[in-house]
Amino acid sequence: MDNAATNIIALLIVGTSVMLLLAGAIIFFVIYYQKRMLQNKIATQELEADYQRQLLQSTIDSQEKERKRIASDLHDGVGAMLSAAKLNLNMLRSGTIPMEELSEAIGETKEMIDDTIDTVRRISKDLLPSSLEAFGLSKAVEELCTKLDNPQTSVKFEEKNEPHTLSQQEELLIFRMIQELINNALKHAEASEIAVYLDWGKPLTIVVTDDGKGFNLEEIRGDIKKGVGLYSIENRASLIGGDVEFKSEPGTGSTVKIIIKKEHEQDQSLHS
Amino acid sequence: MDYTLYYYIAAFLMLLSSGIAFFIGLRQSAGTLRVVVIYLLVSFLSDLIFRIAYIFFDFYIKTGVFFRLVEFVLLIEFYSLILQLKKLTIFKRFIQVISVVLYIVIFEFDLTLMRTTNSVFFSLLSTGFFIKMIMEMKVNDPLKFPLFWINAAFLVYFSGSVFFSLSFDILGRLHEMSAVLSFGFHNTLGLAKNILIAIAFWISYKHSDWDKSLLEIKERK
Repeated sequence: MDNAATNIIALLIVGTSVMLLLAGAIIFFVIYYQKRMLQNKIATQELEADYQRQLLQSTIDSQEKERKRIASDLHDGVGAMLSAAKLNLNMLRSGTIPMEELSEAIGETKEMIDDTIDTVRRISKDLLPSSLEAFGLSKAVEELCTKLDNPQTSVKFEEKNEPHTLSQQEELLIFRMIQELINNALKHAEASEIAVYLDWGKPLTIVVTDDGKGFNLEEIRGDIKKGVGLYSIENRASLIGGDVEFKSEPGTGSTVKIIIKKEHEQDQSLHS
Repeated sequence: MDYTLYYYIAAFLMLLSSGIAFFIGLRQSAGTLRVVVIYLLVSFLSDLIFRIAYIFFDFYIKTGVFFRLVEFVLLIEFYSLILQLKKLTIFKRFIQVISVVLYIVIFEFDLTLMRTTNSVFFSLLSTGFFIKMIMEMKVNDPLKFPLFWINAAFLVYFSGSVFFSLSFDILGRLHEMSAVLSFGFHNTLGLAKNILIAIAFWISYKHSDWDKSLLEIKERK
């Protein structure tokens, strides 16, 4: 075999080996990479499912808590007053009340029934404010702020631009979000000043600020039980195409901004 | 082992494996896989005719030229389908026509040039398909995905054949035994390719639920 042939064979062996090694490396890389990605995908799905389970459990817990609160309001307020009114009426019917106290007893019973009516109205209003259906979101939020405003905690409401029509479901969801945010500021943040801004421009923007003790966003998000309020606001906002921005740090109060884009606005922003 | 014997055994096994792979592939209904089935049939027939003519009639018939030409056209079709180059249909036809013209006019049916062109071109396309697979991440398990096996078969075969294609003729002139050995090795690569394609067909048959999303274009047609 001459030198030229030897050189060609050497080149052939080396070249082919390199090419085959490269081909093998590519094939093994594809298998390894795909399998690795598959494992990551499964792990992410499991985490997501776990998170959804926890979120569902927390939502059920909070619903149960709300039901208990309503049951307690009905039992302790309405139930107790109706029982007392019934007792008075029974005494009136059996004639056990002396004639001179009759008028006072009837007055007391009427007062109890009036109080019961007020309590039922309050419970009903807490569940679904009548002003929301009758006068719209602005009026309902204003009414809510006025009702909660007191010497210890100032709750202010401001709005900008001309209100426009929203569907009942949208109004109710926005109202519930504002209610939840004010409730959080009162209950958890112990705020002394709460402000609600409603900007009817495009996009519709709602800002709720407070000067309370604030919170660590990452920590709250990490604990599903603590963060269920935030997730519930985000879920409600997403139902009507809204985005929520939370800004808070311990000791600095908090600001929550909800931006709601209508479908055509979302399309426009996507195109732009 | 005698180099010639090795060459004949490898050639026989390659012929046999292409026939077996073709028969396994006959059950395939997906358009993309049918292109590969036709490719195997052409490979089997061209090899068979060559062997019969050479062994029984001592006549050297250049079936390889016809095979390389058909191989180019069929595999361009195959890769345009699996790479979903639907916007490049006219370009694909243009390439196919140009390649035929090139082979006839410029290469003058030069088998070395045809082999080398096919080897380089399809090595690149098969690498391209793997890159696409990784980027899209549509396939959960590549080992249960027939197109992965077929593409691996082509990648191994064509990338392994690049240097052989270039050196066949020169070696044949300089040192006949080395040329026989390199032909034998080339046939071994062909055998590996056919086995991998047969595995692909078998997987497609066993796992009828394999991800066919990459074949959507053909099915829509």
